[in-house]
Amino acid sequence: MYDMAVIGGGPAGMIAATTAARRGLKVLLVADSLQGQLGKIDQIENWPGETRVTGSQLAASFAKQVTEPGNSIDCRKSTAAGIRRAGQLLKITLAGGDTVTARTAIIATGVRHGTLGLPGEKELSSKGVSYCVTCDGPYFRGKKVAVIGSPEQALVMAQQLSRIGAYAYLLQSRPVQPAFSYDRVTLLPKGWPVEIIGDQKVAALRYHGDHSNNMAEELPVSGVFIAAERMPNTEFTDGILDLNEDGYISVDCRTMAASVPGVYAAGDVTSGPHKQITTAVGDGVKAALSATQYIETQLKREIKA
Amino acid sequence: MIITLVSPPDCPNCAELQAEIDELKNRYSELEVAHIDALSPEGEKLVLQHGILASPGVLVDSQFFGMGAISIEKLESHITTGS
Repeated sequence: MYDMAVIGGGPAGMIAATTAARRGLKVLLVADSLQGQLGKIDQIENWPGETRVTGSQLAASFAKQVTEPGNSIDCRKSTAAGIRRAGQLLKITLAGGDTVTARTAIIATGVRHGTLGLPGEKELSSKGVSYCVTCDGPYFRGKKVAVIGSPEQALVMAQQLSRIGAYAYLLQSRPVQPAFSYDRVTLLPKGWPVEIIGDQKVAALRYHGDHSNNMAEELPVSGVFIAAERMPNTEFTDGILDLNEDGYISVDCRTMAASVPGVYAAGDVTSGPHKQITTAVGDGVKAALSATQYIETQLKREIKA
Repeated sequence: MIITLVSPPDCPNCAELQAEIDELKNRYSELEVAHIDALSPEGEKLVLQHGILASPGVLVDSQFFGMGAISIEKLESHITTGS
């Protein structure tokens, strides 16, 4: 049995595991990889103490702390398929059917990219349709691409592509004028996509240039990068935990406690308002310390009983 | 048999396939795995030659196999049966 099962290998999960291990807890970290969404970030310019660092560099340094010899963290490459309370303990079912028992759980499963559901999007995925600039952006150097999504995320993607040397047309889900103009980034202020066209690879994007009429225009592009609204990875909690209306885990932001005693959540998967690496790390530390206190209280009760 | 993975450095979507290929390598001792940086001159040449648009680009014995979200089952089947 573990003192704590941490589910998720992003920054919130990794820091929660190392914090708990430093407190002497026996920790299981369940994750399909030790990086989470962090590895998909090109440049990070607001990490404390670093002028500039890549997401994968930062993820590697977190992972090194987790796997440090002598650490009391067992890492298991898997995902959670279910969680339930059994008396004072928690039972976590893993993909594949194994069940692990823990006194506490920290859920830090993050979010995944959503899709726009455009005609042609699925068919042309990996054939010019991409959700990851770090992975696929370099193939579009000197080429025209469309970037579609929420204003903040799409602009970051367009800037990354511009730095690579692509020419980006920016289509936002809400029209927001960027504070600055960027080389090789053209905003289509009222543009919204209707179809991605191509046979074996992306050839063009059909879009409405103006919401006031139904005339679709065709934009010849070689790639379409999509920054759709993200979706929380909470399906495995299946009615056990309280979620907010968007499916994020409702937490007490002081302690990161979820609605079931002994269960905490941290990072992007929570209902907290801010989705930054720094806030995820803060969440992870708070969750681990709160869970540690919870265990101490439980043990005192057991001794008294 | 050589599996060549073409991808830019720090490709987050490539880690999963890499881990699966490492497992394949344990089972098929004749398998060799090579990595080519997509941004290197050699990588750029392969990207152009095979029309790679997503990472990783996967070549089997220098022949294009696929790119992006590759099914490890299909790759294993290709290695074992050539289909």
